[in-house]
Amino acid sequence: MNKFWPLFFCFWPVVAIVVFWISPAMNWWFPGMAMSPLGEQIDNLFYMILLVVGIVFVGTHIALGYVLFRGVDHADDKKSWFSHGSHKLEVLWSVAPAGILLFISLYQLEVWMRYRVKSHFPDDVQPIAEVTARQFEWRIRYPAPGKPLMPTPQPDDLYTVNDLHVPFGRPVLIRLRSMDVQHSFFVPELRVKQDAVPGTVIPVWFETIDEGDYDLTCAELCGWGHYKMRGRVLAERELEYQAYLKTLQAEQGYDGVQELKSTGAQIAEYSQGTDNKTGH
Amino acid sequence: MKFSDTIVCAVALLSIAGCSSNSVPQFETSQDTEKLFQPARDAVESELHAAFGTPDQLVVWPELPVDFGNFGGSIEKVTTQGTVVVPLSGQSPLATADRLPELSGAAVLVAPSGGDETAEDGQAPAEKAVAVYRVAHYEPESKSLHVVGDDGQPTQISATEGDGIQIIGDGLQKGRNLYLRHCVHCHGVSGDGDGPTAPYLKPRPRDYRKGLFKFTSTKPGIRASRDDLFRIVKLGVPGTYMPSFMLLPDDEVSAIVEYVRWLSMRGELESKLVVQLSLDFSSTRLEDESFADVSAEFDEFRGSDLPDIVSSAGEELSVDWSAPEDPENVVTPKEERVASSEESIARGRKLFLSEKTKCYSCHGETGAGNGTATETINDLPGQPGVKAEEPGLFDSWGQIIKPRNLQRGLFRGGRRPVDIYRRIHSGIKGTPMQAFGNNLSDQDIWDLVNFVLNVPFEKKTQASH
Repeated sequence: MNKFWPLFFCFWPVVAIVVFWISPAMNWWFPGMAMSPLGEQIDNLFYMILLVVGIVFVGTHIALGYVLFRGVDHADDKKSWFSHGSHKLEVLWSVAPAGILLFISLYQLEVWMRYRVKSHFPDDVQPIAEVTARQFEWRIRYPAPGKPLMPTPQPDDLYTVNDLHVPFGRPVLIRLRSMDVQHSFFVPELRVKQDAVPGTVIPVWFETIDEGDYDLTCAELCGWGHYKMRGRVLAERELEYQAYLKTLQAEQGYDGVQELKSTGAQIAEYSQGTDNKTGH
Repeated sequence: MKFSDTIVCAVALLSIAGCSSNSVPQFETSQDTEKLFQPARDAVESELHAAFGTPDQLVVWPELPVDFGNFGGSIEKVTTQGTVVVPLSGQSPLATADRLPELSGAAVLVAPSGGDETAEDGQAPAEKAVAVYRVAHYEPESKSLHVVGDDGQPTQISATEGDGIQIIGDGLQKGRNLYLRHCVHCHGVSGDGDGPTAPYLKPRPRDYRKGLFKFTSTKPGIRASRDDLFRIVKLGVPGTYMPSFMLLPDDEVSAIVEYVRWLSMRGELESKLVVQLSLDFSSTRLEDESFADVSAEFDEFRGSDLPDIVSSAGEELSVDWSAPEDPENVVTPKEERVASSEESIARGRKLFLSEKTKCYSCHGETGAGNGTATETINDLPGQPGVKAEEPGLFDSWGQIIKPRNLQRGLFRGGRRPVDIYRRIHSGIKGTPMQAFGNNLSDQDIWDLVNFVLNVPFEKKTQASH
């Protein structure tokens, strides 16, 4: 029984290592594949921190086990070593974590700058839409096809809700606003999370590496209907994206008399017009 | 040990108490019904129960133009006892092929063929009675329909080739389930706009029971069409708490729309009955008459007149709720939109400020929604000559309503030109916004549409006087 506690405290780091080792393969807890290039870098930061934390966790448990093992064989008449107030130890466990924190803070700077600092945004990124969060939906404003997004609404702007279409394979930027309280624009698969703060317009850029629809949720408890704020980011080919805007434009200008063209017809028209340069 | 036992008990008790409040949803009786003499109130409740059931047990009142997602077909072959070969097809958007395997338990009506003269009102003559079974399961590949008796016991199916089969779909149940998940906390179980979150919302959620919906594509006096309700659910109502359900699949939205229409009809039936009863059988009669006298009079009324009142109310509902689906009743502009130009906008502004339309009296000269009518004492809606107690404009639900501030560029019923055309042409139902379709030409309305769409972009200096 003497060895029970040392073994108990050594058992857990072993379990932790085994679980961490097999969980990516078993698809436990891990966030899955990032669907954006920046997301991959953010994941690398996550795994780096996980590694640091894992080493510290295992290391402290080995130290604990060692101390306990030593204590089992400790002779009753031998005086214990009382470490409290040891200057050397205090310095060691203050400086070591500080060093690790300093390392992490410097190491992540580049990713953070690329993600959040305007001067480090991708060169040619243009705002494609204004996303306004409100209780409890995402209202989206696009510029008319071929026009830049203006800071204030324009007569020919296009409006939709909860359904953000973006072209994939190139960085895009949205301007994020809130109409009422604080919300948070969260697309887990793209590793994008940004609070929408009333009174400010926050640029958020991201790039999707493949077509598909990605869940858009609100990550800031914003009221009773917080759970209702489910939207989607639909990444599609440039061709389909342009055709979508055209369809939206036709739909929005609908006067009840003229015929509306289907999205398929818009795609055909667009691909003829552009000689299919951007299509895949 | 004792202490932790107590905690476990307390947690268990709390969880039981928490669950007990989660009761089965029930339709609530309207305030007007509550004012009736007790037996009359009971009669209204039992009529409603007979025609609509409870949220738990929905009743199909065949009179109503409600889409239950039925499937139908005619029997090709009777194979074994309880199995027939019948190609089934959906009779409405709610009956899609992928729902076929889920039919189990649905009611099957077998109508013998031959002698096509089915009687009026769908009542088959006695000798050709419709037989009722339940679906055990359906195999779409072999088109084999296995049925059991209405009581769930295996049975022989008495049918011959060519007999018509109708399977009552579960579209309404599906709509009910979705409604209870997405809508009920604001709009309430009975659709009275008084769910648990409603007291915290302004504007209040729609009370469906009047059958009135504000933003429709239909002519004045016509109910909302399925398409109108579909758009509202999909797009939400900007400027209110009604969120967009854009990402719900179309068939789920259609099911919700059908259930909302059905709730509307239920509310309308209730108020139609109350209107008939409130004059003679209000509870105030007991102040100077004995219960027995009123009761005797009511029993006679209930035996002789009430069934007719209910069935004619059903016919009215059927007519009223079929009408919006008729393209004749949808407002369609005759002329294409006049391109938005400075001239058109100027003409629109002139109309907006003219005595012909008096738009400015509510919406204000600058379109800020602050016209003089918002500060004067007006008539109550639908009651000409009855003055309201406080200044302002009222809607049919008795609430103060503000004319739209056009400068904000938020259009609750949609921002397409055709939406705004319809607002001007047919007005906004249940509000003081009246229909101008008879007084204005298409050209005039399009000028006004162009003006309205341009108000948010007017220079402030221009708009300030």
